[in-house]
Amino acid sequence: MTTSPLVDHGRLQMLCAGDAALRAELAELFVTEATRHVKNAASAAAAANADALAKAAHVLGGAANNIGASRLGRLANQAEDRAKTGEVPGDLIDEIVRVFDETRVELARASTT
Amino acid sequence: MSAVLSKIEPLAVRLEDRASASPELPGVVAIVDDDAVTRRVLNTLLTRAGFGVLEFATGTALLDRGTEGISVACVDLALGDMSGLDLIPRVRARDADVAIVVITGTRDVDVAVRAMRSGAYDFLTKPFEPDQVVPAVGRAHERWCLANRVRQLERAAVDSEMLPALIGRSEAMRGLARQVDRVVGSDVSVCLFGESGTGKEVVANAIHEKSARGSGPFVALNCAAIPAALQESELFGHERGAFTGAVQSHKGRFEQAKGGTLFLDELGEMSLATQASLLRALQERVIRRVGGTSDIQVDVRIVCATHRDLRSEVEAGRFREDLYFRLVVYPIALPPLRARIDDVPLLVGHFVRKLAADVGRTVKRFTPEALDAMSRYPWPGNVRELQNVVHRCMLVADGEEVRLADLPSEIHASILPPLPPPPAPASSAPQTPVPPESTTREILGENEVISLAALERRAIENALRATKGNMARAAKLLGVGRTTLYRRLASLGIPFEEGSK
Repeated sequence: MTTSPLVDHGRLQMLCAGDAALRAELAELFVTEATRHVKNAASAAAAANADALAKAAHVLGGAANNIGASRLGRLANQAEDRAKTGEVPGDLIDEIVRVFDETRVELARASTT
Repeated sequence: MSAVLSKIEPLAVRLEDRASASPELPGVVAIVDDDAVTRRVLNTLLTRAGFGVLEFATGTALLDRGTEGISVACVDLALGDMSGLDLIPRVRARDADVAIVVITGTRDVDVAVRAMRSGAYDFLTKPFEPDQVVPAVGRAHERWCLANRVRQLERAAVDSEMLPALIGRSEAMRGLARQVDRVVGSDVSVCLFGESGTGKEVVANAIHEKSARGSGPFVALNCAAIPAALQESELFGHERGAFTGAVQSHKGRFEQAKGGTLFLDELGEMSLATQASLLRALQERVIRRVGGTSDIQVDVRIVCATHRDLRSEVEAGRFREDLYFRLVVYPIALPPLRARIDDVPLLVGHFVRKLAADVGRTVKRFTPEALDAMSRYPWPGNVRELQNVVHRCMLVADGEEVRLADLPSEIHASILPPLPPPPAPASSAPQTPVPPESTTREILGENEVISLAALERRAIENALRATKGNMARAAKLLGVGRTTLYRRLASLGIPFEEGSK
């Protein structure tokens, strides 16, 4: 499986139409929301609740893909697909947590430059 | 920013074209999405385009607020508290006019198709292109404006039930109403000219009702329906034994109309012999029954009508000039429906109410799209044809609304050539024109026989090629909805890009 870019800055740029203040605001909004979704996914996984995991991963995937957090979005989609079959992919959740951290750092870096 | 604004301008222009009577109505766009980023992006785009925006994180929040003032609801299908698929019918049950634009991940296009079926107007796929958002919401908003305008006109129609005969607010119809007002104060002889189906008898009846003779009888005689030999006896009556078959005496229309109005329809078809008798009756104000010996006083107001050019009938010697001048004291021309096409929604509303009891159906309205299509049809048979079409549609429609697809083929055929402008001028590249309707012989060789499925596949592939894969425009060219096109693509196994517009 090829690696998606961590953050597709072109996507974010397009969403905010070049407005730097809006870009920073969107990034911040995303991080706040995604933190919640990642937590939900992790606790669903911990509780071995595949349904709840699929739901949380779906929301996370949608939000991530929308803002251009491509790698996180892709992982979330995979987690959703696997959870829908009843599986609880713990390894994938760990990776999601790690990639979310990287994404957060990357977004913060982009906002300040 | 300026790119976004330039996108909405053609929409505003189109709205002006269509609803010149009412300016664009203000309406607020509701964004229902549990993703804060999506809400913020949509809010920014739409606010910049001049829309008022309300954000809702859940479906419940929207239902609690209600839809008052909301023209468009952009609804994410994967909401936290309920599925957008459940929300759509609940919103529409409260307010059928709100145009719903579904937001959905590209990963589940089939859900979008289901949403369209449950009453959504359009859909956007996530991650969406900002360029698509404003035009899509603009179109949905335009649809809401159209629905609102129809509702207003319907209300106005109910208000003007005083004069049910003269339905219409067009200049042509107001002019007609003024003319009717002018002739109701006296017994002046009125002649109505107009194509068939324009409602000559309806206007004649209106003149009668509004005049001082309104409480008297309104008697109509269609000269075209009565053989020349019987016209006199129909008009003036006959005594028993006046001719073979006259087993008892009979009152003619003149006598039946005593104190009221006699309406002579298709006057141009009256025989010359009857014309002579009629002239005498009008000059001397008395009639005599066929075979009778006593004079009977005439107390009627004459209104006549014809679809012929009576002047040239006079010149051709088929109509008496002296009678012409007696009857055509006040000519009134009835406009053909195509000259007052703005009245179509009103008339449709009127017939829906009038026919509802007859038809025994629950049809309450025509969708704005259906009304729009009907407003582009030339209506050669005028209001009568419109009434027949409304009747037919009410019989075939499913549920409360008559949709575009329920309209008869002649209306579909007539709206094909002037395609509406492409929704969003995405690129300035010239579009390959596709002949809107080709005969089968142009598609197939005369002796070539292929299966319908193959024919369908060819039509769809051609349309997609011509529109460079633009689903919305391809669907329009094919004369089907976008949803139908997706379904056909799937069942024919034609590969297509999900979410392409």
